[in-house]
Amino acid sequence: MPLDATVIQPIASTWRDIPEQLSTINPAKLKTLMNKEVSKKFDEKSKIVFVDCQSGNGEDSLA
Amino acid sequence: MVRIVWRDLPYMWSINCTGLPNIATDNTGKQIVGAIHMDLMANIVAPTKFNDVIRSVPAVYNKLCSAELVVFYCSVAATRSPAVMSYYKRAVLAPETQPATYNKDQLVLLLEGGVTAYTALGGLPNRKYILL
Repeated sequence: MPLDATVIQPIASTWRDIPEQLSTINPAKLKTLMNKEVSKKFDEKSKIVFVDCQSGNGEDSLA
Repeated sequence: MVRIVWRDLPYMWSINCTGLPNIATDNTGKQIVGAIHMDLMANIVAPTKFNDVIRSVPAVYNKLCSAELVVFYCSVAATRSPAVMSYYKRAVLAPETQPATYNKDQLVLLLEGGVTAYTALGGLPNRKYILL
């Protein structure tokens, strides 16, 4: 496993139509991971990809 | 009959004074730089959106499949992003839809609490397009 497996925490589905368990990452651990690992591991090859599932463009939600 | 439970409330559209759904409230205004944007209003359209935005676009699908780590998130990561994540996992694990570029050591994770929990950590600029 290329990444620290301790970040994985199986949770029960919050959507009943999803049969499988989904692994999650704690926001604080993600922040730590990104701060420490991006420059070393993912920087050049873009090995980390985020998928944003929010609606709209968020322009009306800006503080 | 539609049953509403407390955990669904943050993800439902709010109703403004015109009685029409205010879709913009479903977006926190925060986004991680470089994220693939699905523009998903509800998990009921997740299969269609997943096919239109990810599965049908080879560049996007291959980018996801070859990544070492894929993180899905939405506002609070309770319904929309888990749904898309589920469809993604089903697609890449099924032999008929698994691309040759699929990284078998890939880690697919859901950002716990979504971008709301992430920005609550503090120390981030209060503007759109934050970067970790």
